[in-house]
Amino acid sequence: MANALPTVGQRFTNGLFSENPTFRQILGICPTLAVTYSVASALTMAGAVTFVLVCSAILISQIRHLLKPHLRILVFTLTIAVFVTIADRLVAAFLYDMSKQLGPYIPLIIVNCIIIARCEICFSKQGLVPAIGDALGQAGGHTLGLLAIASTREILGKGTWGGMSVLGDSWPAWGVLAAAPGAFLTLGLLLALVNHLTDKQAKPMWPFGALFNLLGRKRQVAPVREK
Amino acid sequence: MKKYIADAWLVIVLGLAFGAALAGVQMGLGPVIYQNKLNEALSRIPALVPHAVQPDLMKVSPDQVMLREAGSTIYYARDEKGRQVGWVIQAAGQGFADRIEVLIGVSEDVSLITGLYVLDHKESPGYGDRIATPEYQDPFNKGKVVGGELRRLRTDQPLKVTPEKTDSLHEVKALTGATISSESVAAIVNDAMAKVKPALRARAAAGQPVSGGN
Amino acid sequence: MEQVIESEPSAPVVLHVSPGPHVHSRSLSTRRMMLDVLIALAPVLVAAIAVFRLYALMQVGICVASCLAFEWLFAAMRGRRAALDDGSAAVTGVILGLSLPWSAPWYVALIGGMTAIGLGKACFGGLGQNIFNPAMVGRAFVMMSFPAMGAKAYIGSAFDVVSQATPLSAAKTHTAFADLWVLFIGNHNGSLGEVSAVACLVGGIYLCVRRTASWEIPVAAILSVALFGGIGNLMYPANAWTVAHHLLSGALLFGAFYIATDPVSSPLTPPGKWIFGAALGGLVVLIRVFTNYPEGVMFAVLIMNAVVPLINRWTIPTPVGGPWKPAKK
Repeated sequence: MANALPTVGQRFTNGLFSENPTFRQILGICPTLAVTYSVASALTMAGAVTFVLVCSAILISQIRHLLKPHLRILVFTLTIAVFVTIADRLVAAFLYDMSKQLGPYIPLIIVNCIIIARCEICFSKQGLVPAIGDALGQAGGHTLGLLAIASTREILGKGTWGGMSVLGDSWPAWGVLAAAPGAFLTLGLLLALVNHLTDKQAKPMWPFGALFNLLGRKRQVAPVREK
Repeated sequence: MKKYIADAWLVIVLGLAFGAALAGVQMGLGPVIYQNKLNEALSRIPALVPHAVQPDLMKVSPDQVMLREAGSTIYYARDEKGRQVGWVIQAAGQGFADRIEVLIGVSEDVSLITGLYVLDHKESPGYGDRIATPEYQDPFNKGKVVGGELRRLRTDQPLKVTPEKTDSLHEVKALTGATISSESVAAIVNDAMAKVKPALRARAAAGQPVSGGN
Repeated sequence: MEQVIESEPSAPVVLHVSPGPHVHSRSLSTRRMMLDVLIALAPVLVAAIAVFRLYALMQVGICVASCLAFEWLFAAMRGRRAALDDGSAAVTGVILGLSLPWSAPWYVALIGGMTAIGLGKACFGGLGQNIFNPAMVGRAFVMMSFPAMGAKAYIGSAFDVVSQATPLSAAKTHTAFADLWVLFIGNHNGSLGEVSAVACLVGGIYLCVRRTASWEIPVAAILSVALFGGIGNLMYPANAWTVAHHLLSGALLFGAFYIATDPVSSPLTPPGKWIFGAALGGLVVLIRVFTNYPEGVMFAVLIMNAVVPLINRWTIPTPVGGPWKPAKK
């Protein structure tokens, strides 16, 4: 069985790109929509998810042989809940303002499907090294997703990036993008863009086709997705 | 029995280990978080009690700025001359989702509510979390217009939560869709008032200067 | 040139196979319909220019240019020929321009045009596929992005009466109610297209007579506003904001005749159209009276657009000759 599973390198790159949690698996959408109004809050959320993923990877991959099939979900949930609580306390202790801002969304990482999905798919089946590679890959993919959405929303919606002025004071802030509907619009549009760029059959859309030609390379063939 | 233990021993061991780990984290980080909350509470005092100024955090240690009475933490609110102008009571209670922690500003004789601030809550986003917005807090922070006059909520009777706006100084309007959160905050305020008022009055009766401790 | 009539949504109806000769009617091409709408919009535009002078022309001009440019751009991005000559983008531009206040800065019109065409239409697959009225999508986007724009335009207008007080308290706190005759002729402030009720009526009746717009929708909407406004009137007779004010003020007539009748995003069947119009009018009154927004036509149209597929399903007509009923699940 073990030889059929992806290696640590595959796990890592899959998480970043071809199995990107935000744009490919559409997992963890609740925090994705809720905290991406600013880059700072998105990065805090991504950091907390990374912490929980890596810690769960270490623990679950070490006890994977002890797991009883019918009790495994219980153990996963228990583990995740503990690390989320620790992450919540850490944020409250060292990033107090951010903790106030994110409010219930840090504790809500407990129900973030990315983590329990990785526990089920990878951590409980593979050893320490692939598990950590997988955790880092998924966390990286999640961070990329949040960062892409948050950057779009903050730059257009407020004219700033991470609090720094980007477009200048005369920029008419597109308030709706910083508000809740903007999360759905941005996620949808970026999702469409990612799908378009990774679709092997689609003719590249106008600016991108020209860009690909300009770079003098064929379109990237998306890696075959694992079933 | 044996079978159950054979099945569940991992869960039990993990539960114990996790419990210990969380206790350790709480012991390590608890004071830091407490200090964060304290700093926030102190910084809110001027907004909660009219005429109060922010205590100088550098010079006054927390023990000196606050008292512990009847299980609630009470902060002095002083004006710039050092006179006592009111109290800020830190209180907590069960909300819809989790504990809600609030700061309540009261006048010096504990008869009027002069402000409310939600320190910590985990109420549902979009519903219960509106307890931290002016929509809910305005009667506490600004008072109510009764007969064309802006008046503060009174503490001589417990606060009630009503579905509609009323003229009474003992009633606040519930948040639509978040009645339980609204009632929880009112209950926390009532509870704190019930505990704190006798304590502060006893303090005054015992001849202790109410403005002492500094 | 193959002109696909995309704006005629084809429900899965019984296919009529009839012997020739066939008469080819040019009266129902997309282009012809859009031209009709543009003609019908002319009186509204004239009224707007009479009140706001060149500001009106500039606003509408920027919106039309923006809609045409982005129609071309998004079609090019999708690798399609841009159907600029069917006039649908121009109609979207004119309606968007007329729904904006004169004081909105140029970038509002530009962004409005971009979102109307991009989010409102191209995202769904182009003309005929959009479930929401593109102009209203664009207006909703800019209105929520730049709330100051709307607020500024409404200062001193008839509508800040509605924006600040519900009918319940309006009579107590406000005395400045617009004169009905002024509302009817259109010499007052507001979004460009809302100023003159009489211009909307003239253009709207032309549209209905030409059958470019279904008469059921505006009639149902106006009756419904009259009904609900009338109930409000009866409940609070002291209120100076009467049902006539409801009917003549704001974007109600403009929206009922030009926006709600968009053939793509309104129901297909006559009963559906009645339901659509009546619910639209009810929502308009609801939003005007009970929310913080001064005007409810835009949101009412968008909400009702979202319900259109459901209305279509409820009102599947029985084909001639058969007691056929839609299969129940």
